[in-house]
Amino acid sequence: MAIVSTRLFGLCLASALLASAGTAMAQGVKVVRFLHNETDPPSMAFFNKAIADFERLNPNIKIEMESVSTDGRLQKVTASMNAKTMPEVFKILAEERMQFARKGYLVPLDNMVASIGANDYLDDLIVKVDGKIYDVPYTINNFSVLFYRDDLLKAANLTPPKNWNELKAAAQALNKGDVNGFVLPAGQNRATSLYLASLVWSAGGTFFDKDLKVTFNSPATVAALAFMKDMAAVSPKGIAAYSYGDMINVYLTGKVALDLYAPRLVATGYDTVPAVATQTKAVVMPVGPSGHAVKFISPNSFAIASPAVGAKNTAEAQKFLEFIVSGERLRDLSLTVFPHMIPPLKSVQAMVIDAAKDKLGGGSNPAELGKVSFDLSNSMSFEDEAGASWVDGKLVKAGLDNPYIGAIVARHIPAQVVQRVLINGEAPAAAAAWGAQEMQKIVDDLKRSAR
Amino acid sequence: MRNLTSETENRAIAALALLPSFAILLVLVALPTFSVALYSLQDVQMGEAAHPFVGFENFLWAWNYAPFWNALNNTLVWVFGSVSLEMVIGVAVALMLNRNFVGRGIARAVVFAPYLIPTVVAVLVWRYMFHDVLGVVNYFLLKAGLIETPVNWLSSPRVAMTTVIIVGVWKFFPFVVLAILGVLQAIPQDQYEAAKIDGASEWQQFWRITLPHLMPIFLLTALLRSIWTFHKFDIIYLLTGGGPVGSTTTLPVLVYQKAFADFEIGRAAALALITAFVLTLLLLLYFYLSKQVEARQ
Repeated sequence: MAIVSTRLFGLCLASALLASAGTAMAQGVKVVRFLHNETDPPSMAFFNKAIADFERLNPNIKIEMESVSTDGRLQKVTASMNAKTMPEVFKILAEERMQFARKGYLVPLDNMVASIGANDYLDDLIVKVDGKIYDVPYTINNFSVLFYRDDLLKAANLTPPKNWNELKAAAQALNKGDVNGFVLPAGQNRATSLYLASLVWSAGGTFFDKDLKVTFNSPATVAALAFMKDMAAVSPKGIAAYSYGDMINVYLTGKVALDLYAPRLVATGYDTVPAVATQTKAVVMPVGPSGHAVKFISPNSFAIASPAVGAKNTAEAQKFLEFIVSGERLRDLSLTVFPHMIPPLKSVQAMVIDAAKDKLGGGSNPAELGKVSFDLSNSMSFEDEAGASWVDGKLVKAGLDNPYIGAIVARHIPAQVVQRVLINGEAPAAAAAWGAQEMQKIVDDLKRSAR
Repeated sequence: MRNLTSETENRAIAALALLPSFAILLVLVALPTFSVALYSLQDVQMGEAAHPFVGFENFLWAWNYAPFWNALNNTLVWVFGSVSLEMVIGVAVALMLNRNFVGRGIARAVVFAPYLIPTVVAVLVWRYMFHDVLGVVNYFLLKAGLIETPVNWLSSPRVAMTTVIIVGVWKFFPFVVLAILGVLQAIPQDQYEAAKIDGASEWQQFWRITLPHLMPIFLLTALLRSIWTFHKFDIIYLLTGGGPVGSTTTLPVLVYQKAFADFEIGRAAALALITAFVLTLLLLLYFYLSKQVEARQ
């Protein structure tokens, strides 16, 4: 017994010594966890370099980077929030901002924005929740650029389509042999939801009105769904599983003639399949039945989680965040996937266009594709679409904070509406009515839990 | 008196030695189980501090929730489809690998490879292989003239479940091979020799000698695979995410969607408990069968 007691004591002592040594070693170095979904090799190389530079300048701070897929990001974030293990710096989308901020999960970043220069940001990009700024944009993505195969259009004697009817006619004419006239996402994911959104807006509708009432069940939604149904007929048969990546990969096989998507398509194309990329040109999104084209833009931001969801070193996190979302780092980040990553700072936009001369095969390409891609006129995203209307040919937003849209998009309600039409064969009007009903349920649930 | 003290000391040492394991079990198993049970009786929304007690409301909700029954049905199809194919293919391959032939070692290594590849890697490769435009599966089938248009392996509600079953069977039939091969190699050869002398055909040898030896482990393996397949999440989620339109949403996928897409933790907990209940029934059956096998041996 005495021998056992001595051994146990020795074991405990050794454990205590090891633990204290570990604590001592860890003292002085603060860890900042950083979660993002920019997983393409150039962006990862950028972040690795930026982190190394930051750690060299700040030897007492260690950055631990975690990258997740775009489709898996929100699940990772919500799971971490629930488990109170949130990384300090994390990627946030505009539609998630209000919900997280009001729950106290985010740290205000007014000082950081002031330090970078609030006036340098593009209009409407800095959004306050209850008077405070909770996220800092690092890029804007324009999901509504029409890419087309110039060689195929010329061979068919077609010009780039300017409206939905021309788009449909061109896609039908080009849908021959193993070439699909068009491609669209129809999986149960955010890519499908945002695709439907821009079509609904271009048909003259919105998901919510200025009083935050659900207006999804409208002729505009029905028109958008009917258009998607028509376009699905000239798209690859497997679109019901498609998400962001498929919109690029399928086009780059050379088996798609027209692709309404984000400029990551050409950036990837020039890196991987230049034969297809060099035949690709871009024009602005064709106008819908409303006579307008409303682009879907997605401001991508970083936020800092609060201690309420397990974040620890928030002051060090702010220092790191400011380092990567401003100045030369922001320029370099934007250049990783030119012209997909549009910098939110006016001063950096000029730097990017200037530095991108040798991108996309050089010549006039960077300027032409950059011009179409960087055109953010008449654009909206989920969080600012409520109550938007057209006044004198100009898109006017109601300037509302929509606290419901985040939950609706996270539950993929718009995408499910698309699937009901394209997979189940439901009539667009019935699917729109179902979608509105589901949205209303979520609104009611959120109102009830807020009480 | 001395013996009594020594016995008490031994018991104390034993208890002390078990303490770390007990503490780990408490933290990793008992506490989460208790939390889930508690959540299932509360209205828990992601991030809400207040968790009002709602009794069995979440279970009642599940009973009336059509996607729950769809998920239960899908789970049964997934389990039955996967396990039955794994067992048939596993036994056939094990019988083949039990024979002497040139290159048997290589064949065994090849057969076991799917089981050793990490699920995430394997599933992502399969996902590309089954892609309607980019995938090699459609490419080869079209080249061979077996299909006229690409099959929507992952995007057709009628085909998607078959696709996930194919991947599941590919990944896990080696486990069946491993279990059955172990039994096959333990069958006394003199029984076969005696049967041959008596003029028994190959089929008769299989039916009268091999099958009776295999049956207990066959049943246990099938049950064990059913339990594991029942709560399998990663293959389905990574391949189809439960879609299209819920056609591959099994109970574990539904629990995940409720918790991390709909943020309804209380309802997800109720669904998880129902899943656990079904699994417990399967486990009880497993233990019962195990005892029967032991008694028989």
